[in-house]
Amino acid sequence: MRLAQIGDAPALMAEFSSGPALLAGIRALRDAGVSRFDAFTPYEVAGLQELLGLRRSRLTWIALAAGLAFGGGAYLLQWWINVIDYPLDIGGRPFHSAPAFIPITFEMTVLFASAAALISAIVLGGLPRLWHPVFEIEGFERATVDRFWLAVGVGDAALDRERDTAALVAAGALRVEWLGARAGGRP
Amino acid sequence: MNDASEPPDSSLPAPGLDRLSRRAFFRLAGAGAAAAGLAACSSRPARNILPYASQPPEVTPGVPLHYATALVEDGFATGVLVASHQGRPTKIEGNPDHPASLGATRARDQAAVLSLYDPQRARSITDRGAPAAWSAIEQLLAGARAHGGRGLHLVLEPTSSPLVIDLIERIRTALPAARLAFWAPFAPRAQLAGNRLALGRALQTQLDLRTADVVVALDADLVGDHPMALAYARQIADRRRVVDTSSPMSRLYMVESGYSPTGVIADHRLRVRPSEVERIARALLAAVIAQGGRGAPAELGAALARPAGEPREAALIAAMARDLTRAAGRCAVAAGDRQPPRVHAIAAAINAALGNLGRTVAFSEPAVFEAGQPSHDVAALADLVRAIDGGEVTALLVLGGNPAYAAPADLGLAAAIARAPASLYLGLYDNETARACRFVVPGLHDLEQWGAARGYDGTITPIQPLIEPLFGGRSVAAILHELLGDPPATDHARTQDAWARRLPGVDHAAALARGTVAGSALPAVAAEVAWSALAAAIAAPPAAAPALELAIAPHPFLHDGRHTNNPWLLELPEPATKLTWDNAAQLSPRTAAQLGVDTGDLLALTVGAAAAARTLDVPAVVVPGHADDAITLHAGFGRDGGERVARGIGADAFRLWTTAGGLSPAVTAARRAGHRELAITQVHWQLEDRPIALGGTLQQLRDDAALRDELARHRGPQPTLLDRFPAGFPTQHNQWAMSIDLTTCTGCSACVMACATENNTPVVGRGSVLNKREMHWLRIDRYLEGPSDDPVVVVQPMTCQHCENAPCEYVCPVEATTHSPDGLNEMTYNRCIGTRFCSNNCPYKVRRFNWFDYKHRDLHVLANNPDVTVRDRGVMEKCTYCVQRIRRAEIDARIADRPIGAHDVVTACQAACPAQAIAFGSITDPASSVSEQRRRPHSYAVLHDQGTAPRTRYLARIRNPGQLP
Amino acid sequence: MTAASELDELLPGRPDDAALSAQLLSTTSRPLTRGWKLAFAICAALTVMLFLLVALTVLRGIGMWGNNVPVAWGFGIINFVWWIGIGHAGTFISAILLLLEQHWRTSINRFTEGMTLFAVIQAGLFPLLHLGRPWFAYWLFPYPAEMDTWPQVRSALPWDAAAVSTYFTVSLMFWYLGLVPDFASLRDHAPTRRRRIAYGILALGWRGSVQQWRHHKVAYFLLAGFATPLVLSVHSVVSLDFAITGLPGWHSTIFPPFFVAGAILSGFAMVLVLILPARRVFGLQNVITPRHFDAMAKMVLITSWIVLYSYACELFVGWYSGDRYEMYQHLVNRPFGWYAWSFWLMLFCNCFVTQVFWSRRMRRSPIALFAVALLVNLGMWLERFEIIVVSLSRDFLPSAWHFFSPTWVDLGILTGTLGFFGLLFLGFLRLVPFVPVAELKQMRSELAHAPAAHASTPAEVEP
Repeated sequence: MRLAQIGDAPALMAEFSSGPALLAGIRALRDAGVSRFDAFTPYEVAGLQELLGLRRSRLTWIALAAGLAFGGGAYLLQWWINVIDYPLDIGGRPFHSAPAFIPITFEMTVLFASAAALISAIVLGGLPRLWHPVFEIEGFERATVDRFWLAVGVGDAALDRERDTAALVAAGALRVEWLGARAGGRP
Repeated sequence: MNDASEPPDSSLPAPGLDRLSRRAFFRLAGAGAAAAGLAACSSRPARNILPYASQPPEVTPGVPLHYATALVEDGFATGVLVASHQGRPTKIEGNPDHPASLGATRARDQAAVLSLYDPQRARSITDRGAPAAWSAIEQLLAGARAHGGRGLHLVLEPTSSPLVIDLIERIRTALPAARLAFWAPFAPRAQLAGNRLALGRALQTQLDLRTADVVVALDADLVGDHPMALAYARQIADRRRVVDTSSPMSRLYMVESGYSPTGVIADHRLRVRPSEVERIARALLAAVIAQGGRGAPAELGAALARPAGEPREAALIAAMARDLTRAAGRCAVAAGDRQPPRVHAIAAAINAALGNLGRTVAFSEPAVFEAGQPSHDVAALADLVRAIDGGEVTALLVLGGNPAYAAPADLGLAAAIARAPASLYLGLYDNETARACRFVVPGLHDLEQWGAARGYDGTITPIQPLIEPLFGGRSVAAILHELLGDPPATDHARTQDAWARRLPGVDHAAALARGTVAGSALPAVAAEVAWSALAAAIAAPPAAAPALELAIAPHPFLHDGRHTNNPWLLELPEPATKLTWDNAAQLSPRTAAQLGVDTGDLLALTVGAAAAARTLDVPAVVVPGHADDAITLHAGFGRDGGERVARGIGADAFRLWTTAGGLSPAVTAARRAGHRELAITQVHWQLEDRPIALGGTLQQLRDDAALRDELARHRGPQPTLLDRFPAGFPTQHNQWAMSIDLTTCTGCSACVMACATENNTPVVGRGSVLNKREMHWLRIDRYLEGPSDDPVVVVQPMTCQHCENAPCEYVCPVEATTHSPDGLNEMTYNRCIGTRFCSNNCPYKVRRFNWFDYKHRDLHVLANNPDVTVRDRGVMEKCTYCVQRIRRAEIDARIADRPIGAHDVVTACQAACPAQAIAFGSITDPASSVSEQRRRPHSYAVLHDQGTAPRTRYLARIRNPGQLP
Repeated sequence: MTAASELDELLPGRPDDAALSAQLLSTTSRPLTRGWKLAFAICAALTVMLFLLVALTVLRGIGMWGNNVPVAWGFGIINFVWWIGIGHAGTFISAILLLLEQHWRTSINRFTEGMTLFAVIQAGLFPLLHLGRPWFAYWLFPYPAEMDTWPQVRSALPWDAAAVSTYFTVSLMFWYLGLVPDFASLRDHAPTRRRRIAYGILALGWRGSVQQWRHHKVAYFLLAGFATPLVLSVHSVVSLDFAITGLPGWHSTIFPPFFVAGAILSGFAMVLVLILPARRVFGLQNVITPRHFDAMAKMVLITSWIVLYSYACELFVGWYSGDRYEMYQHLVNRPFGWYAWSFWLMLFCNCFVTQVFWSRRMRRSPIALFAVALLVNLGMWLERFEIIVVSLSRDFLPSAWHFFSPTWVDLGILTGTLGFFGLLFLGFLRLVPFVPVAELKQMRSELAHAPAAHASTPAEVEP
């Protein structure tokens, strides 16, 4: 089962009051064969990623690559300046004064690794994207405070309106929204 | 809170009026070019002045054109070579052919170029301050000429110029009723009077110290304050230079109250009050006679009272007598001019008794016209005042000098001059005398005029202008000619005419080219000591010394105040105190404690009693080694003329000068409420047991392996992981280095001034000096060793050491200071961003920073050396080993297609040094004096333990004290 | 202690998510108090003065300051090192304590990160201003110049430039990443439309999706991981400005750890100085609790001992080296020289008064904490004065020794940076939730559902 990449409006949204309740809802639908899940939570819900079977983010490797590239570049630049481009007698020190090149190399490594991490976190998270269809759902603003929303992507063949509504309510959903056809699944 | 935030030029004249427009600059430079005979469309002097022709290779200066001329002070000429850049004189070097220079200069000679361009010089003829026409002067002089010059009084500076003397004698015949006086406050008078006592004639003593193994100076600052100081410094240094452990070394005794440069290099120094010197002299004469002085009547020796001095004094006198007697005929005793004639007479007697006459000591007629005659005495000025008050004076001409300021205060000369019906002043400045006189005529700087003068030894020295008179001044000769009613002629024509008459057969052009008239020194006069007359003269024992006595001394740089408007000299640290921009009462720690004052506290000095009492408030400055119960105060300050720089700085010592008290009066001192922060550039005087200024005695150097090992530990290679140069760095053939001899250095500071003039280092003003922001690239450190009341002083010229592993270089973030292939530590001003990290990491603290924009704004810019960058605000600067001179020498060598000679590069400091204590050259050339000096047993590197591998090495300070019985 | 009891200590009363959000987000929207306005006005005035004095310095020259030739670095570099040091606690708390899973950090980390950024901004002024020609400061960075002139990287100053700018940038990114979810809640709940738009843009459209949380979490921990060596490296590099020289009193291998310890000491002190009033004014007694004070006081005590140990090392090494210059510097000049008063006052502030924190009561008394923190900040400033001015005033050649005394411009600029710092901080308190809401709620839920307490709270899942 994989995570739904929900670019626009999802088919189904359900509101829960807590992380565990959300997890219960997902389990309920998963047992019914639904697979294209996403969730919107005010903070990270423990166990959610495992439940959706997500692997660890690749972001670490991006940062590592950036760090090594720019760190190595920094050292090379210092070497080239002092040994190749314009060697000077500075206090009788060797042109290639390796120890003196370390601090800048280190700083550049950290700087660009960090920048890479931040940028990839934003981009991989589908940001920046100031507007998203889910914002239109009334009450969704509490997703950043104390409500936990479950979403199912459009075109999930396993979706069944009555059954899933009942399952979600049983799992503790405060509200179930079927989008597209607006007729409510409210019990 | 300090006042560092006050603007840099707070104590300098505000720019503005004197701001020099580009146009004006070119006008002046153009005029100069003409004067220097460079302009094709040559104007008057262009045809006539000649470049210095015969340049001995060791002094080939790094600038294109040099002219020989002279700077005259109190009538005595010092021959100089002036560097002229496209007609703009910028730098003064000594004339090696001139006996009073031998190629060296004094600090104040170096500063003459700044005085030349002083924007505050008198610029136009004035009548009571209002602009006047030359015709008014002509009328005045015509009137003065009437009926034989009755009522005409002239006050001139002492002169030795054959040309002026010619005019004076013509005036004497043409205007017999005219009265002449010659006045300079510090002109040597006592010596002539003393010799009259001893020899029967007012003769001038001529020392020849080249063969003197022992020299006793009785309050005589032979190497510092003497018309012949440059020559004597060289002669003494030549006898004291240590080459190896077998070098001979002369012995120098100094008896003085203040701490003079001569006292610094002396082997034994006896600190006594000025009035006690006579007692020492008598005792010395007695001891010499007792040890068999030739020709001296034994009863005279018996007659002289034995010294009642303390044991050390007695021992020193005995040692002097012993050494003198051993070196009879190869020694000299000299008396200083602050001493009364009796002391000079005794000195002459001692020299006679030792058979020095005709060997190390000779006598000649005075070089100065009528010197020793009444016309040179204070009495002559007193007569003038009386004459003015008696209404006998119809016209008073003061030609040069500044008698209204620099004369005994009780004469009331300034007021008297102001009362004279008609008075004229010819001089460089609108000074005190100018303000007292009715008419003021701008005078000529030495570098602007034609003329001649004699050196102290009598050598005739021609004077030629380097530049057109900047402010259209007139020479003394011009005024005298006008007074005689001569037909108008140019100064040059008159000079040639008078030269031809006074010096027949002497080629003027040849003399100008050489800077001297060869063989024109005054011949020695055979003179014998008239023992009986002498005995009578010194029969009476010296008067008892007062409780506290004052010595009014000429300032080492400002002399009698004639240079007080020169910022360079004001900011040059006074050698004994490192005091700038001020004068202060120098006194010993003990005397200071008794008076309850410390450095900076105000003292009220009072001379004379009751109604005649004159009081002066001065800050005290404690000078370890100064005589107890005595105060030394330098003259030249407290000016209140129109010179804006000089005005209001320091206290006027002359106000304590009375005809009765003379220059060393009894004085009473009282602590005054108040304190003045003194701008002293050195605050800590101990070595703290650090390997900085090393030294020992000649005996130790010869016999004591410990000293030699100690010195050896401070040179030579040190363990290092680094190569001499980074691998693969191109190194040139020449590797420049310097060697400085602490044994012969007197701390006279001529090198410091020379460095400043050569390298355009700015003046920062008193406020900035107070916050340790002076900009001198070269400074003279002064360390005290031994007891605080009577220490031994070591002076050490300190400048960039051009370290091979320079700590300043590796901390500069922008490669602004780097090493050159020929071993220089270079500053790239344009690259410097002013982090000052280099200064922090410099163990010698020789780097200087432009905290503000210190550049000249006024006419002074003309004194800048065009070969040296003028630094901008916010950049670091420091000694470059005069890189501009190195490069010039390299270029000349390349043009001539020859290698650079061992002596082709002479740095500014090296050239100026009278003692030749500085050597410069390439260590790759074994023939260079630097290589030779680095091989000497007492060569060492300062802070060698820091591994900086400095290129500048020092020769340890070696003294040659004798056994005290 | 169990997670539950720790939660009770860190969040007394266990307010639920809604309550927490309401309380913590409201700091950005509640009406301005007169006190806040007054403080803001004072800081603004001081800031204006600061920039006037900066203008004066640039126009007239660095000579407006008291520096001279033995003491070529003065207040400028002292203030630089002092402010940088203060900047350290922020990253230390938010990064290192995050990696060490110290829950108590959560309530104060954003606050301290803000302090870090603003302190580094103050610090950043000085390396620029103290230059003789500040307009050429960019020469410290490599760029292809016509003359092939490059920075000279054997000097510690380019290291410094790299370290400080990196530190600032990384701290800023770390701070912003943590802020994004809270900007999102403000976007959804700020009172006015204009604010919602502003926060909406800052929130980048955050909606808390699984993907966003997934990458956010990794990035946040990565940045924390990167920031940790930075905290140690920045002040180490700053200390190298001194340690690479040969100057007695600078030429010392213990400088890097010594400086870092001192930095964290001053940093925590400054956190206390700032957080005690803020907590009172905004009534956050339930979020920032004695437990937090206790922890910070302990950090102050520990670092003050490390600093004391470093002082002792300097003295001992100074003596043990047998080097006459070192011995003079450490055994004569500092304790008994011209500036002996600063040495002893420094010891009193940094090492003596901090010992009151052996007492639990003192560790939890706001008054004591505030007083000690102020003294420690003074002491740490004096430590830099000791290192820079006192060492320079007497180095190798006694002939070159000279005093230093500040000018009114020096004092004005130091005061001005305090005002500028305050100005930025007051603005921060108004515009940004200075307690991280999302993180706090997450901590609360984690502790609440921690295994020990899990079964005991089924109610949590009930609607």
